[in-house]
Amino acid sequence: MRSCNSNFGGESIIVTCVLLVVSGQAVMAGEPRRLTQDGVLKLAPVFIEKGNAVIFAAHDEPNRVSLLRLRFSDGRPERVDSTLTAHQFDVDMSDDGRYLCFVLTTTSPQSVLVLRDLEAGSEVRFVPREARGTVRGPKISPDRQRVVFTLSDPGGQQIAAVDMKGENLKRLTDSAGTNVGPALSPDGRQIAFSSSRDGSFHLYIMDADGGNVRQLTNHPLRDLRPAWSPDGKRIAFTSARDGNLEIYIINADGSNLRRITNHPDRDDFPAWHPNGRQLLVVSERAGDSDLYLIDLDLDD
Amino acid sequence: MFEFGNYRLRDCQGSTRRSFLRFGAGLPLAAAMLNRGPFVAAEEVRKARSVMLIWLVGGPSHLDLFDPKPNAPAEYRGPFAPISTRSGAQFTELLPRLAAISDRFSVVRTNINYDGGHRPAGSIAWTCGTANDGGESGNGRPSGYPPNIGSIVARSRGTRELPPFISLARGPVGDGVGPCLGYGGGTWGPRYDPFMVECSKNGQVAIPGLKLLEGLSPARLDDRRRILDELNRLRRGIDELQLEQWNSLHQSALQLLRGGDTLDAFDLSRESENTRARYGRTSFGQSCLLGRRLVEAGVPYVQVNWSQFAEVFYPFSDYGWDTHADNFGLLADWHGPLLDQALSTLLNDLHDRGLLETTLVVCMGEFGRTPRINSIGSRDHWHQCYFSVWAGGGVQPGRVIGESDARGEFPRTAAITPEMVGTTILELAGVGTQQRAGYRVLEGGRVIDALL
Repeated sequence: MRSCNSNFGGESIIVTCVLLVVSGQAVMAGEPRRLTQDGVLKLAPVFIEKGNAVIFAAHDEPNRVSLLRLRFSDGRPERVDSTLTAHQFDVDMSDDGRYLCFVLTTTSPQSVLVLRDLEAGSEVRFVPREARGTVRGPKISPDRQRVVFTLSDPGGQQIAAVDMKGENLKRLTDSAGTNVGPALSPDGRQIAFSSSRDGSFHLYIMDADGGNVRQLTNHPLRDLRPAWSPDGKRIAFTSARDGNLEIYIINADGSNLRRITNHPDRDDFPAWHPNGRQLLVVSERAGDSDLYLIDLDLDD
Repeated sequence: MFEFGNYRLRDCQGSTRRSFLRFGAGLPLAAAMLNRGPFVAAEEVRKARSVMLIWLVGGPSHLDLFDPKPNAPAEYRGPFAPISTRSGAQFTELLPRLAAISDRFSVVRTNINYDGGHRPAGSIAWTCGTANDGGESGNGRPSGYPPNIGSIVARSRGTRELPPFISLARGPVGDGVGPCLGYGGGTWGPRYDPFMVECSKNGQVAIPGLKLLEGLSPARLDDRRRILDELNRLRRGIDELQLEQWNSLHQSALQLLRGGDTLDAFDLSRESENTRARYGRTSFGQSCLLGRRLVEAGVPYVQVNWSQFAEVFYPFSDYGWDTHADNFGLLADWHGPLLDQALSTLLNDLHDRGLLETTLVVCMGEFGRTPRINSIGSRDHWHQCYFSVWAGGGVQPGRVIGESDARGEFPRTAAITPEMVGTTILELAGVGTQQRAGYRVLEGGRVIDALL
C-alpha cells in the first residue's frame, strides 16, 4: 500500500492506492430472503424503527415513483404519504424517528429536498438555485444537526449540506467530475461518497467538513452507493467490477475487499441493518426487482 | 367488468377473456356502419416483414451509452467507463447485456437531426421532413407534416384484422408542452394515424382512444337502433377532421374487437411469468414484449415508446430521457439498466423465436445530449451527432457505422440524416423507390449502405 498526494480541481487529496485482493471467504450466511414480491423497480431502501421496518422508493404507478414503508410484522408495503402527487425517492430517517427527509420533484427537471420534523409536525424544503438543479441522496447526520446530499447546481454535481432548517448551504466538495451518494459514518465524522474526479466512479472518504479526502477504491468500472456498517468499520457498496452490479464490502481503511453477491442479474442499493449482521439490497432476479435481506458472516 | 374506453384483457386485476369476446361478438354490425378505404397492398416486401421502432423519448446521451469518449477532456467524457463488446466496439459500462450480444445488432454513431427541440425533432425523425405550416414552432397541425414512416409502411401493407401501425404509449408522445405533431398520417390524413395502445408495468393492455365510445354498455350493443343513435350523437359533436379520425380509429378498434384469435396478440397473460419478468416490470419492458407479440401476429409497424413525456422530473412525467440535471445519477440508477435489460431481452427473444431475421428493430431518440457537461454537471440537448441501434430485417449485425469526432460533438464521417433513416427503414420494409415515388415520399432518398 502506498499513499500519494494529488491535486484535482483545486482540491488537495490524499490518494491511498491499495492493492485490493478480493477474498474468497464466504460472507453470505444462507440464501437471501425476499421481502417484497411485486417485482416493480425499487430504489434506495433504508431501515427504520430499529430495524423492524424499511422505507424505499418504488415505481408503483405508471407516472409515479412513491415512498413505501414495509413493516416486517405485516409484510404489506404502504404509502409513506398518500397526499403527494409528484415523484418521491431517496429517503432517509433519523435513528430516533423524528426526522424524515426525501427528494420530491417539482417542475421539470428540478428536485428539492423535503425535511420533515415528525414530532413538531413541520416541514422545510431546500430548493436548488438553478431552475433545473436537483437534490439526490439526502442523509441525516447522526447528531440530527444537518442533512448531507448530492447537489446539482452551478458548480457541478457536488456533495453539500444544509442545517435542519434547510438553510446554511455548505458545499463539501469542489472537484471535477461527478460527486454522488454521500454516506455519513455512524459517528458523523466522515463521509464516504463516489466521485468520477479521476475518470470513472471510485469511492472516497472525506472528513465531515469536506477536508482530508482519501481514495478508497480504484477500479476502472464504477463503484457507487457506499453505506457504513453500524460499527463504522466497514463500507458496503455497489460495484460493476465483475461485469454486472454486485454488492461488496470493504473495510473503512481500504483493506479486506469481499464480494457479497454473485449473480448475473443486478444487485444494488445496499443498506445495513442496525444489528450490523444483515444487509438489505435491491436485487433483480429474472427481471423482477425486489428487496432481499442477506445474513452476513463477518467474523474476521 | 368490460370497459370500452380502457378495457383490460385477462390479468391480475380479474378481467377475463370471456368478457372481452362477449363484447367482440356484438360488434360486426357497428363496424359495418363505418367506412374506410382499404390499404394499398405492398408491391414488394423485402427483408423486414415488420418494423419495431424503439423510441427513447427525450434524447439519450450518446457519450454515456453507445459512443463513449474515454480520452476526451474531463468536461466532456462523463464518469462511465468503456467496456468491450462481443463485436469489438466499445459501449459504456451501463450496457453489459447489450455488449454481450453486440454481434446481433449494429450501431450508427453519426445520426443528426435538424432541430434541437423535442417535439420538432421527434416529428422530423418520424416523418423525415418538416412541417409546411410551421409545425410545433408555429400554430401547426398534424396535417402539416409528411406522413410518419409507420403510416407509409402501413399504407403499403394493410392488414386483415390487426391495425398496421400501432404505437405503444400512455398517450400522445411529446413533452410537457404537447405532442410531437408528426405522429401519424400528416398530409395523408388521420386515417393513417397509429392505433394507440397502452401497456402498463403489470402487462395490462388498454386502448384509451376507445373512450369516445364510453356510454355504450355490452347490453346496449345488442340493440341496433340504440347503437345507431349513440354513434350519430357522438358524430354530431365533432368536426370533419375529428370525424375522419374517429372513423379511422373505430374502424380499427371494432375490426380488432371482432377479430377472434388475433386478439391474443394483446394478451400478455399468455406469456410465461418468466418471460414477462425478463423484459422488466416496467411499462417500457412490457411494451417491448407486447411489441414482440404484435410483430409475431404480423403487425407491419410497431412503435414502442420509452415514455409518454420527454421529461424526467415533471410531477406527471414518466422518466423520459431528458436529463438536463443528474444525467449521470439517473442513467446509473434507472435509464441505463432498464434499457439494457429490455432491449437485450427483446433482441434475444426475437432471435430465439426466429423472428429477428424478418423484423427490423431500430432504437433511437430524437437527438443525443451535449458532449460538454453543463454547469450543473449534466447534459442538454444535442442534435448534431447521436446514435441509433439497428438489428434484424436485413441489417448486417456487429457493425459500427460512422465515427464521431474525439469529443462526440460532430460526425467525423458522413452524417446520417433523418431522410436516410427513413429511406432505409422503408427499403427494408419493402417500400421501394417506385412505391415511394407513387406516394410522393422520400423520393430520391438514400439508404445507409453500410448497414446492408
